Amino acid sequence: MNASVLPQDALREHIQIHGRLLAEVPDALSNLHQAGRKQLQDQALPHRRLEAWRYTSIFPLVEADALTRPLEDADPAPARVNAVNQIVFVNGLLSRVALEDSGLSVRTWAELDDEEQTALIKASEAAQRSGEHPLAVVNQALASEAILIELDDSTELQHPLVIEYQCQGDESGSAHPRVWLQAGRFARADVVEIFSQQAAGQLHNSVTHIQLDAEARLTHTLITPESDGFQVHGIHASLARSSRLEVMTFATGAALRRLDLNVRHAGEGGELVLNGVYLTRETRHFDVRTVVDHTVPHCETDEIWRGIVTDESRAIFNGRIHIHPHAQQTRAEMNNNNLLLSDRAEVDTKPELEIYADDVKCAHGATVGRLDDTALYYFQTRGIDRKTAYRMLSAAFVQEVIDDFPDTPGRALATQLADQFHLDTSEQA
Amino acid sequence: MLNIDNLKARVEDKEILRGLTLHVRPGEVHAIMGPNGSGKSTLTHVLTGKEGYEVTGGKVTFKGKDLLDMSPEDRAREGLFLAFQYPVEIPGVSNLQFLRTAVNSIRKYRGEEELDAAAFMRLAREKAKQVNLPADFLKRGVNEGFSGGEKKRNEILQMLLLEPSLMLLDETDSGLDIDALQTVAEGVNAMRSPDRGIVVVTHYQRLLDYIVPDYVHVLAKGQIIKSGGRELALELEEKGYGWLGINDETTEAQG
Ligand SMILES: Nc1ncnc2c1ncn2[C@@H]1O[C@H](COP(=O)(O)OP(=O)(O)OP(=O)(O)O)[C@@H](O)[C@H]1O
Ligand SMILES: [Mg+2]
Repeated sequence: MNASVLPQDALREHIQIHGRLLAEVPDALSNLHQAGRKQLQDQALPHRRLEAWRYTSIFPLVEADALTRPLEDADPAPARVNAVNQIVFVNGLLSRVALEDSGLSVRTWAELDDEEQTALIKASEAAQRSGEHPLAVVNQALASEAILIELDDSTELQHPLVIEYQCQGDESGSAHPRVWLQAGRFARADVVEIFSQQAAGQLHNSVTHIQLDAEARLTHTLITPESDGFQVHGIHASLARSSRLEVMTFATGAALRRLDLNVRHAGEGGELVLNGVYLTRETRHFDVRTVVDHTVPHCETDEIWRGIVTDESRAIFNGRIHIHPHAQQTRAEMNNNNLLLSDRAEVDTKPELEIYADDVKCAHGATVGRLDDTALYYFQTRGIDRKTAYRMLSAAFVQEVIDDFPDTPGRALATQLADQFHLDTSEQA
Repeated sequence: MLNIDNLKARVEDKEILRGLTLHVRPGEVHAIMGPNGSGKSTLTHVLTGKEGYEVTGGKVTFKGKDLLDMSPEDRAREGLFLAFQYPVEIPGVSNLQFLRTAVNSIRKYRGEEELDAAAFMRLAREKAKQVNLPADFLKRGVNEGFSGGEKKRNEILQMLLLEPSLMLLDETDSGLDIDALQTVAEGVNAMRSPDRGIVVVTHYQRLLDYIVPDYVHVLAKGQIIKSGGRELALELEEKGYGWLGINDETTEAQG
């Protein structure tokens, strides 16, 4: 690559190369790609001078050539958790759909009629524009597969729906799966999205659009195990009147991990819980940006993020809650607490409230601390060795957030991954 | 069982213990009194092995072993226990989990079988009752939001569960109401036995009415400057420290 080319320009070129590859073999997704490419024309790509991308460089993506081609189709590995309602993507392509509960359906892009496709394109473009999530546009332009998951009105899903995204093989390349999830009026469901380890040089760039109709209640648990590759995931959610969404994230670091969680309160009486835990080590990177828009009155947002950052890893939390002029009687709270366990690790935290209504209750805060020596000593005076104390104290810092996750295989997996992390990092105590 | 000889220690270049000698034999109760800042808490922390305290002279043996050579956890496993003057709050770790981990670490060290969750729960409930702490305190975070008196009772609860052979109580009586004082004293007295030693640090004679000491020592400027029987505590209560030729350390430091 020419050294004078800016990374974002190189990235654009890579996307064009990839786009031309897709255009050579037109298929059902072509109209989605076309619309995405069009939106991309006047879309700024990530670069360090954009506030939202200040701490995360896309240079490694460019350097690895990850965007120039799709990941090859590959065989699935055994699912990480066995679920009654299961969807498995492998390298961005749909590999398995098994649904046992009624009231739940999945259709691929090819199975949607023109009208449905147009409506979905329109809806997601609106979300992408307001969401400042440029890689979601890239996902659309290069979509590997797009599916629509529908929960019928009043459906109460008996078992969680587990969506697993696998990356197989060791070739570099990228996958861009896209999911629309629509919960009808009064529907209730627990959804889990599980990501996987990837080879270095692989980019997994996924987007999930969530639409809750009035009175729907959905929990959405996100599990991202450690990865050597690049993982970008975006959630764009919209809440209609009196609906409730819980997005619970368990994250670790990757060569580059970026989460964009964008939620819009679009109907009165909506409730949002947007909690997360991140555990990073070695030289891995984790960057989360949450943007919550309160556009109507009487909605609530609760956001708690706890992170443990060690070795030479880096974690970035950027949370924004935007309260628009009409959103009176909003209650919103956002907290980010970090435990920095190494001098070489770095945390950047920036919770922001933008308030344009006067009758609201809002608070936010952020802390970065270390393990308390006095607490460690207290444990030791009770006969507990330093390693165990270290492990118990770091577990205590995040476990209460994980314990609040809905009771799905996601919570068990998060607990298991967290325990392993605490065990490994306490070896250095 | 605990022999402290000519112990000298400093914190951040400040000499705090300046040649302290104290011997505790099994079955004995020693009280240490002394002005604020004289080094009483420092002594307890040097004994339990807190970081940041540098021993610059003297030696300490506990049951014949070199105490200062052991890690803090091994000192506890050998049977040393400190009830903190300021117990530490540990949000997120339940009292029950903390206590069970502690008890099992010590049992393991002694080659005893670890207690399972149910057996430990029964034991913990029984001991909590003994110090008048309702059972739901076991589920709360360690000392999290406990009142001053509840924290002190929780220290005694830990002591009852860990069954140490040498107990250091640092101002366990401060901040206690009269009933709680009695409860705490009963807890300590229940542990009294011919093979256990007790060292109570206190400012008040009152506690010593309940936990009757065999010896009373006055600690000033990092040394034991006077020792006597329990009547010494009464004398100190009446006359203060002035007659011993010492002032409050903090006022002296200013002057
Ligand atoms: N970490 C520290 N850094 C600096 N000075 C310290 C430290 N710890 C203790 N000291 C000093 O050592 C001296 C003795 O303190 P210590 O807590 O042992 O006194 P004490 O006899 O227990 O007093 P009190 O009766 O008030 O509890 C005090 O002057 C105190 O300020
Ligand atoms: Mg003291």
